[in-house]
Amino acid sequence: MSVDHSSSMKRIIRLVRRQPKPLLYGLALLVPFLFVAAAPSIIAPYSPFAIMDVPFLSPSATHLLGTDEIGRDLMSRVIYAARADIFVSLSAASVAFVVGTVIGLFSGYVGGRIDTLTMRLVDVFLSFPTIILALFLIVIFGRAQWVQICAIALVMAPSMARFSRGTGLVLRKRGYVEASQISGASTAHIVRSHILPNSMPTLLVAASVLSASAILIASSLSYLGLGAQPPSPSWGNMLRSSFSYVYQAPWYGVGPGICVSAVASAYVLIGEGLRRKFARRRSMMGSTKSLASL
Amino acid sequence: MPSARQIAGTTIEPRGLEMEKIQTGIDRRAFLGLTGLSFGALLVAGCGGSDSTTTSEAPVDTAGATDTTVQAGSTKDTLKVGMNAVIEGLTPFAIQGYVWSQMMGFMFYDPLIQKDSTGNLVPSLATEWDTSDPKKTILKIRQGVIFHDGTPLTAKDVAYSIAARCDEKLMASTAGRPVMTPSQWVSATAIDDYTVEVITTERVEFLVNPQPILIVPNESFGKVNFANEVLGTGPYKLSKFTSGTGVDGIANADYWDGAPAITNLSFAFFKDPATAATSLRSGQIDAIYDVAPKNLSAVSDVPNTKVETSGIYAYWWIIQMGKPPLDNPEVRKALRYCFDLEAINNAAFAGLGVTHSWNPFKLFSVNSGAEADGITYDPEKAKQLLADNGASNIKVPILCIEGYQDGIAAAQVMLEGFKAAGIKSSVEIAPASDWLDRTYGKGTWEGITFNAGNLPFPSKNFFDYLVNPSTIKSSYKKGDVLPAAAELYRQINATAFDAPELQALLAQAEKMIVDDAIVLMGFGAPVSMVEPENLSGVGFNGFGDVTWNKSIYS
Amino acid sequence: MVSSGSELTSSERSLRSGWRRVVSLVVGRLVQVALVLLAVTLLTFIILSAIPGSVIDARIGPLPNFSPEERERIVESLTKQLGLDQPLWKQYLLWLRQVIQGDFGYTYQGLRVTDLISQRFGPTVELGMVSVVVGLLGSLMVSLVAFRTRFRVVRGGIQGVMTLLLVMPAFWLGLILVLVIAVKFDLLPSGGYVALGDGIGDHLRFLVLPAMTLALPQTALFFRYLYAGLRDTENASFVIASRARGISERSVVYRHILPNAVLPTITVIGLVVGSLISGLVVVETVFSWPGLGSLLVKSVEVQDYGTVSAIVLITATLYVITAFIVDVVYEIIDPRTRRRV
Repeated sequence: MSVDHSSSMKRIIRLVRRQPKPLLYGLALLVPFLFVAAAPSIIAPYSPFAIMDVPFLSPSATHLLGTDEIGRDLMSRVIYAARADIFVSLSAASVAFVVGTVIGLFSGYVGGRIDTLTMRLVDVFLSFPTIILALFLIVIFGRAQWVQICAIALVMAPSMARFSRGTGLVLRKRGYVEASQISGASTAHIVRSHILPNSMPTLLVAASVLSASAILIASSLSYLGLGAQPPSPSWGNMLRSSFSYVYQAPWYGVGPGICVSAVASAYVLIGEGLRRKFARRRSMMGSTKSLASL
Repeated sequence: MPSARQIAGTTIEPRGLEMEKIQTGIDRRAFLGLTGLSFGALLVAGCGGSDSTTTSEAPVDTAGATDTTVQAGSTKDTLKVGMNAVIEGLTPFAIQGYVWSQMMGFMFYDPLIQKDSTGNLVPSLATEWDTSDPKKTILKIRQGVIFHDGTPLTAKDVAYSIAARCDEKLMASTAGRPVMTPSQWVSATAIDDYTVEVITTERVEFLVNPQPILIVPNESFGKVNFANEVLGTGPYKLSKFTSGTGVDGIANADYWDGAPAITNLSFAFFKDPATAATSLRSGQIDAIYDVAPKNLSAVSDVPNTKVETSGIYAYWWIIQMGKPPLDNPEVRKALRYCFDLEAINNAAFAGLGVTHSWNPFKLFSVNSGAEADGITYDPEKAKQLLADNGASNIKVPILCIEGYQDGIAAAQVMLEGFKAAGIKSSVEIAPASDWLDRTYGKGTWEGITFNAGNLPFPSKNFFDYLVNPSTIKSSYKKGDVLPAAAELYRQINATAFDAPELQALLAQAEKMIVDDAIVLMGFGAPVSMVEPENLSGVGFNGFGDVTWNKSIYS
Repeated sequence: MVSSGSELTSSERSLRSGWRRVVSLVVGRLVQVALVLLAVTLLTFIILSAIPGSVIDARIGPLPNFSPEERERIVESLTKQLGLDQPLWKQYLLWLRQVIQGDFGYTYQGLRVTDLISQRFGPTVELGMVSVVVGLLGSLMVSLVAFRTRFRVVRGGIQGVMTLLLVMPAFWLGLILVLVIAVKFDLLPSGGYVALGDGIGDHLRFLVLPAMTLALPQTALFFRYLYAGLRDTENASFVIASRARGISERSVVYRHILPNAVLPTITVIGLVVGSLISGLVVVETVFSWPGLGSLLVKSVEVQDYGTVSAIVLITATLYVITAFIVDVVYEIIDPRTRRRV
C-alpha cells in the first residue's frame, strides 16, 4: 500500500539474506518439525493409536509409510512422535542450559577455591560416559518422562557448566566488569547485568549444540526401550521395533531415522550459523577460543 | 581429565584450535547430501520391501524327508539350535522357567518322570511311584545310572534334589523356583539305596510340576558352581558355556537310555527374533526352536528346512477382582465386548492364533471363536452394559510383562477397545521380576494383567495357572478374593491328577470360569520349530517339554 | 669460574628441568585421578542407595510362592550379611572394600557378576579397538584426500558426509547398513557373534557391520581435527619455507604437515573413549554383540542393580584412566612443553 510497507518488506528480505546460510537452512529444517510437534493433528492423516489394518503393509496411497506391527498407520505415528521427542530433548536441553550456565558463570566469575571445588564436582560427573550415566539414573528412578528429562539434563549440564565457566573467566577481566566491581555492585548484579548478556552469543551457540546432543541421547534411550512406552510413539522406539521386523517390514525405520537425523542436523546447522554470525562480531568477545573448552 | 563433551558420540567443537580455521562445510551441499541419503535409503528399503513376502505359512508337520542335503554349516554330527531366550546361568533351579527347565534342562539333566504327548507318565530316573497316600510319596529309583563324573546315582541324590527344590533354606541360596510352599514341605529321605520317601503336609503334585525337578548329586550345592558347570545324568555333557550367548554339549556315551545319535548339540541364545532369523539364513545355526507366529514369515522360506509345530502357547488375561469395579461379575462380562479379536489375532499372532475367548479350557480343542457365545466386538454395547451396572468411566489399566511382545501387541489393541467403550485405560510394561512381585508375590496389581504359558500337564495345573493368583490373593481384600473359586481350587489341588473324580471338579471349574468371568480372555498360538529337512526325533510332547537325545539326521 | 663435574650445559639443564616438570605433572595428575575415582565410587553408591532395598533386590530378586513372612526372614539374614543395617557411610566403606577386591555380588539368577562381566569384557574390547583403528585409518585417508584434492566438490562432499555422520544416531546408521548389506544383498549377517575359536572367517563376518557402525562416526570425529590440523599447519612458517625451498608437494605433506597435524588429534583419543563407550552400548544392542554394552542394557531391563552399578563403575574408571594417560602422553610428546624451561 504505502511506500513504508514495501521498504519494510525489503528490509526483512535483506535481513534474511544477511544471515549466514547454515542458520537459514537450520531454521528451515527445524521450524516444520516444531510446528508438527505443536500441532500434529493438523498434518497427521490418522490417529497414531487407531488400529486400521493388517500389520506390515507396504507403503501405499492410504498408508504413506505402511503399517506397523499392530496395524497402525506409520506416517501418523512418525508425526506424533515428533511431539514426544522434541519436547523431551528441548526440555532437557533447557534445563541443562540454565543449570549449567548458572553454575558455570558464577563459578568462573567468582574464581578461587569455590571455582576449583565446583569444577572438581563437575569433573566427577563428566567422568561417566554419557549414556551410561543416563541408564544408571533410569534404572534407579524409573522410566517416567520426567526421569528421562532429568537424566539427560544431568548428563549434559556439567559440560555446559565447564563451557560457561570459561566464558565467565574471560569476561571477569573486562573493563566494564571491573568498573562495576569498583562501584560496589553485588556479584549477582554483575553476573546478571554484565556477564550474562555479553556471553549470550556464545552461550546460544552452545545451546544449539546441547539441543543436538539432547535429541540424540533421547532417541538412543528411546531406542533402548527406556523412553516413551507403548502405545505412545517415539522415533527411538519405532526404530527399535523396526529392527525386530527387519525381514517383514524393511521400510519401517526409515521415516523415524530420517527425522532424528534431520532435527539433529537442524540444531547443528543453527549452531554453525550462529557461530559464524557472532564470529563476525568478534570484537565483542575477544575471541571465540573459550568455546574450545566445551 | 576429560574436559570436552561428546554429543552422544560426537564432538562439535575442537579443543585448542582457532574456530575460524575450521571449515565445516555445512552448507547447501550437506543439506543436499542429507536429502540424497534419505531418498537413497528409502529407495533401497522400498525395493527390499517388495521382495519380502507378507504371507505366513501355516505350520506343517512333515515326516523326515528322504533328501539327504544338509543345512549349510552343519554336519550330520552337529545340531545347532537357536532360541529366542537368553540364558545367563545354567543353575537347574533358577527362575528361568519354561525356557531353561523344559527346553534345555533335559539336555544335561534328567527328571523323575517324563510325560508323553497323550499325557501318560513315562519313567525316567524314577521307575515306580506310589502316590496313593496324599502325604507320602514313595519313589523307586532307576539303577545303573551314573553322573557325568562317573559316580553312580542313588536315592540320596534324588532325596537331596527334591529337597533343594522344596526346602526354603536351600532355595534362598539358589534363588530358585520352589516346587511347593514351605508349609507343604516336610522331608525327603532315602530309605534304601534306591527308594525315596517324600513327606508333605497335603497333596502336592511335585512329580508332575511343569518345572520338573532335575536330579543333581547329593550335597552338590555349594561344591559345584551350577551357574557355569553341569553335573547331571543327562544325555549330553557340558562342553562350553558362554553366558548370554550359547551353550555346547557333547554326547554322553554312558547315558542310561542310550547314547544320543548326534554328537554335538549346541544352543545359541538370541534376544531378538530378527537376529535369530539372520543366523539361520546365514547357516550359523541349523534350527530355531521357538519361532513365534509373528516371526514365522521371516524364516519359513529358508532352503532345506521344514517347519513343525513344537507346541501351543496359551495367553490369557486375569482380572484384579479384589476391589471395585472389577469385583462385579457383570462388569467383567461387559468388558468382553471390548475385544476386537481379529485385530488382536493379527497384531499379536500374525493371524495364526486360536481363540475361544471366554472358555480357556477350549483353547486347545475347539476354534469356535467368540461368535459361538454371541459375543462380538461391540464397544457401544460394553458402554451400555457398564452404565447399566453403574460402572461408567471406570479405570482398567493393563499390565504386561516385558519381553512378551505378543502380550504387549494385544494390549495395545485392547487399549483401543477400552477407549471406545469409554473406559480409562493405559498399558504398563513391567520387568518380569517386578510383575512377579506384583501378581504372585504381593497381589498389588490393578486392572487386568497378562499371563502366558505352555499348556501344562496335568490339566488341573492349567486351572491353577488360570485362577492363581487372581482368586486367591489380593492386597485389596482380606481372605480369598472369590471364596467359591478358591474353595474349588483347593479341592482340585487335593485330588490326585489321575483320580476319576477330578474330571467332574474340572468341569465345575470350567463352568465357574465362564459364568463368573474369572478369566477375561484367552488365546492359543502355535509355536513353531524350523529345523533341517532331514532331522527327526526331536521330542515335543505338546506340554512344552523337549528331549533331544533321540534326534537323528536321516 | 670453578667448573665442577656436576655442572650442566644450558641445554642439558633445560632438558632435565623439562623432565622434572613432566614427572611432577604426572604425579599431580595421578593424585587428581585417584581423588576423582574415589568421588566416582561415592556418587555411584549414592545413586545406588537412592531406593531402599535395591541392593537386596539385586541379590535375590522376587521369589514367587514365598509367603511375605518367609521372604522377610531371608531379607533379614541377607541384610546382616551385606551390612545393610549399618549407617550409610559404613555401608559405603563395606561396599567399596568389596568393589576393590572385585566382588560385585551376584545377579539374581545366581551368577557372580564378576564372572559375567569378565566373559563379556573381551568382545567389547575387541569391537572397541577394531573400530578405533579403522576409524583412525579411515580418517587419515579421507583427510588427506580432502586436503590434497583440487576439486572443491570433492572436498565439500567429504565434509558434508562427515558432518552427516556426526548427527546420525548409531542405531539409524546401523539400520541403514543392515538394510543395504544384510537384508537386501545378503552379504553379511545382521547381528550375532561367533567366537574367535570357532572360526576366524565367521568371526570376522560378524565383526564387520558393528565395527563399521562404530568406526564411521569416529572417522568423522577424527576427520574434523585432522583436517583442521592439516589446514592449520599449512600456514605455519616452516611449511611455507619448505615449499619455497622447492621440496616436492608430496614430501611437504607427508613429512612436514602430517606429523604436526596429528599431534592435536591425539588429544581427541581421550574424547573418543567416552563416545566409544556410549556408542558401544547402542551398537552392541543393535547387533546383539555379547559385550558389556548389551549386558548393561539387559541388566537395566531386568533391574539388576548389581550388574548395572558394576558396569557403570568399570566404564567410568576406564574413561578417567584413559583421559589421564592421554593427557600425560600429550604433555610428553608435545615439543612445546619440553622446550619450556
